[in-house]
Amino acid sequence: MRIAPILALLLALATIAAVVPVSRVVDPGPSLLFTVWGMPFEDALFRDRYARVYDELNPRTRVEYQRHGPDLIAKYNAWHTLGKGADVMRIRITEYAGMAARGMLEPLTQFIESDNPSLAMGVADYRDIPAHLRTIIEIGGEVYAIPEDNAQYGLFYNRAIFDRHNAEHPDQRVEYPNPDWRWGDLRRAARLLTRADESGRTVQFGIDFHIWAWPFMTFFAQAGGELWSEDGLTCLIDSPAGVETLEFFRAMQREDGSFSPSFGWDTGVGAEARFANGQTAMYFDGSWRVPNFEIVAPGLDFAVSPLPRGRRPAVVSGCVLWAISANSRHKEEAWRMIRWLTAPEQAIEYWDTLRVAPPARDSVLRSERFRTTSGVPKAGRPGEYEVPPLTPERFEDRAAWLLYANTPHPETGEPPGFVPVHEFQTDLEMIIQRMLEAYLNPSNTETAQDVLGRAVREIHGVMDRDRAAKGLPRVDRGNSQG
Amino acid sequence: MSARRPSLPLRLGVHAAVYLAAATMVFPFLWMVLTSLKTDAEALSPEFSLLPESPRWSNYAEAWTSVELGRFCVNSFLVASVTTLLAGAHNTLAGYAFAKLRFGGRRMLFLLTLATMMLPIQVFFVFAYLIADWAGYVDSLQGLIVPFLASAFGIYYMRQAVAGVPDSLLEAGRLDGMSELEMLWRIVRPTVWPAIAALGIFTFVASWNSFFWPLILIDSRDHKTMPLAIAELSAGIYVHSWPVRMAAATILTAPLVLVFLAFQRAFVRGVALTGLKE
Amino acid sequence: MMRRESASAYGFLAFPLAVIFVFTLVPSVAGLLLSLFVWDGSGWPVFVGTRNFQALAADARFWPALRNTLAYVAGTVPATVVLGFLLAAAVHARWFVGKTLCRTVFFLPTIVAIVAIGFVWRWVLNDQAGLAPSMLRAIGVTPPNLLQEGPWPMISIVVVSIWRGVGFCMVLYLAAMSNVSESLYEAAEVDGASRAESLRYITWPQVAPMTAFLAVTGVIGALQVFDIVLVMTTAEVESGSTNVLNWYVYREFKAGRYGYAATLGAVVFALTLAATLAQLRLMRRSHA
Repeated sequence: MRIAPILALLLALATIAAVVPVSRVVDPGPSLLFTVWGMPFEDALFRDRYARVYDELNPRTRVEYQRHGPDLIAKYNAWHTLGKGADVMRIRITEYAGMAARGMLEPLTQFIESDNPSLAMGVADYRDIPAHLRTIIEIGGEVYAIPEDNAQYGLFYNRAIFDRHNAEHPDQRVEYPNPDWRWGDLRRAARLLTRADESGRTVQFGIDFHIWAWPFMTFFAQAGGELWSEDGLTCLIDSPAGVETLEFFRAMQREDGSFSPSFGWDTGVGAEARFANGQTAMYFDGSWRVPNFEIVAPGLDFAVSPLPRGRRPAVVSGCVLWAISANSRHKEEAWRMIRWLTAPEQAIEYWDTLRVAPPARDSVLRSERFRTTSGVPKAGRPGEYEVPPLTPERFEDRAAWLLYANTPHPETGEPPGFVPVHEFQTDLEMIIQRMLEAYLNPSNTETAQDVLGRAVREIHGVMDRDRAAKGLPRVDRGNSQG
Repeated sequence: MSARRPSLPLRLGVHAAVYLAAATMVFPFLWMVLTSLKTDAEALSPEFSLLPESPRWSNYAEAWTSVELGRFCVNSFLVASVTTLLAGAHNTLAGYAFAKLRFGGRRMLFLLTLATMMLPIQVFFVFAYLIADWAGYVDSLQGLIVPFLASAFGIYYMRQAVAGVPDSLLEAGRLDGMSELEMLWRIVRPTVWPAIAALGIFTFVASWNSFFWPLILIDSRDHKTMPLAIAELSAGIYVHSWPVRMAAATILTAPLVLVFLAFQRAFVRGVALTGLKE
Repeated sequence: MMRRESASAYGFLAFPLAVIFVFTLVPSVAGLLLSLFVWDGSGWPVFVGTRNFQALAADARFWPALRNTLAYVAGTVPATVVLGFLLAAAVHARWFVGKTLCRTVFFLPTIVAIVAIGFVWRWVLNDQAGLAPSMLRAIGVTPPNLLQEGPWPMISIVVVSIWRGVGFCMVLYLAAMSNVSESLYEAAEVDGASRAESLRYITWPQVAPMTAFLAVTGVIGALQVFDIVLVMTTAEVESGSTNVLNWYVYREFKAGRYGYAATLGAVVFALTLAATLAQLRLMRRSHA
């Protein structure tokens, strides 16, 4: 018995079996590939209230639902190189301009303004999208995605700390934050509400926030600054507004001692944990943090106010959108689904379940259904929630502030909300974050102008490199530093 | 080493140092398991506590169900097993060829094989993805198996192992008229078997733990593997439950540790056999 | 005879080499060539010659990434190899109790998934509730934020990498040491050599091939570091000191700048090749 040849044969057969591609049954009929990213419990919204419902409402269309991890953009890129793509894609505003520039997204104006009533999005509907979002989705007169939400930056405050201070120091009263506060009011409140122990270690933080681009960009805008030049070729953060912003942060940190920065993100620790533990009086973060605090610190007496204003009222916000891949084979069908997803009746579901950001529809924000939510219950654990419901009593404290960014401000006539958008926005935001980390390091001695100048040189370097690679002419920025 | 016994203080000192180091190897995992049994509040509280108040086994249920680990476990196991078995065979064949057979282009082919280890996957995975698509492997478990049915590391490793077999044995076999296949099976394999086992463990572990390639290749939930599932617990800007994450990490780790403990004697013998002779 | 040997050789090698060439070598060559092009994923790559490399030389972000990567290599590889050697020497000693236990325990970190290791160590090091900062505070030291502040993220990653790699080196060194013949040590003892001298002048040179293997594979792996950075930092928003070359590559890919990503990858390749050749030459010279 010669074993060896038999084994060799078995190996060969096994190898062939492993290598020959198994042909999959291809489902005939239109099917829409619907891709999102998110935590497992977000299936409660995207799969249960969106994908399955749309599938049932449209018997001729099958919806294939895929939920991926946070690096979905890498997958979108990989698919695009293969000439394929999802039909209904969820994308971030930070990726939007880049993807449109690379030809990954299908232009949607043809559908929005179509003569076919089953496709067209009426003028009223389109204008229901908040104005500051409409300006950013329009690139060169064309629209490539419809906004799903508008996550805003807000001022969280611990009411118990305010009350306690006012009880102990009636001569130095601090009112609750409100959107008419100027930077001076914020600074004063932060200073008064900071407490240190005998060794000098801060035990109660007057003000706290994560160090990333948003705090800088919002205060910068409030100081009157513009991130980019008109033609988009020059970054302008090294303007006096930038200096003012940085020096404001540093003053609160070094002069008042009311701000002790925590750098970067690590969900579960850092500035948000301090606020959740009741150690922070005022805290900046995005709207997505509200349900989090309700879960991890159910006893915390907190409310959220719109941001204070500087010279100008301004609220930085983000946006998640729905788009159609340029490689999609069912563009009309995909558009119908997007139109359905962003209609008020479906948009409110986003708020009703996840409550991470207000839907991108003015009418929804003013509707009754906005004032209360169902949340997302934990599977198999009755009474426990992944996302707690919002009760009407809590609306004023925890959700009413979201209307501020979308409402025309009495002074300027414009809604204060804005979404920073640019082809190199992601690069700029990373550079801003590193700049803040350096500048706010307790031992750093550079001036604001130094670090801003360095950041601007860096972003220009990235842009110039990209232009050079594409054979575009050099940008003359009029100064030797470029 | 030396036949002299060192002084008692020195012996104690060395043992203490090594065992301290060993403790640091184990302690993070102990901490992982202990944390996995705590509640969220316990885990995040600034006061330090080693043991949970009462073990919260439900964290494991939550980790298992929230990410549907069951199916991913099956996928990971399938991919890792098939890869290990087939790659083990092919790497051994190739290692034997490079170590003991004379043929034209041997040196160049070997160097070329080694060179493939030098470019990071982040650069070329787009092209590997294109090739996988052309072959029909995208979003399939096959796509996770086939590119790893042989590896430069595996071939290098087996070559070293086989090189340790005395040539005289093989010459004798050739004189007896045995085919190369038979010699491999009858003469080389019994000697080299522990090394094959060791490589098997390496391959299984690498396949079980691989993250980047499955991330890019797999789209549908049916075909996802365990590391992808675990990573999902970090998606989104939420306050995550550390105990549940630790439970998931324990679930991901435990099978491998058990497999390793079961095979570690064979494994160590196998590592020893490579000897790395020039 | 020769012809049968080579026929068998080609037969054995056909499939394994085909797999490696199709899925690794061809994409690698394509990846290297792409550094001469500009491509964003749609349409065809556009040839630009050495323009990407010129841009690289002027890229202010490249040099910090290069520095960080080299710092990682320098911090991780020598320490891991040397510590592995010393631990192996201790465990290998005849009077050492618990060889098998140690072999098993030290190897554990190598087989655990990198995702799990990332979770565990982020948990141990986190500023708020982590074990390490708590212990430091208990002895009166105010720790910096080990995962986020300044150079500490990179230091933490280096420490975790060493922690992970030491066991692997130790086990391999143990195997190599068991092949060193006793007579060498006996002769040295007769000559009056101390224990430390035996270690330095007999053991170390005798296991040189293993040192070469560990150093070469260690450097190759360290230059390509990616996964540990991914799991130890929340890499959506990256910190300065942990920006390593491979991460730069991946970010460029996500931004759709494939050509430039390939250029960076070519740099990693060149570094790896250079380091490997240099090490092999050094080893060969010290042998003779």
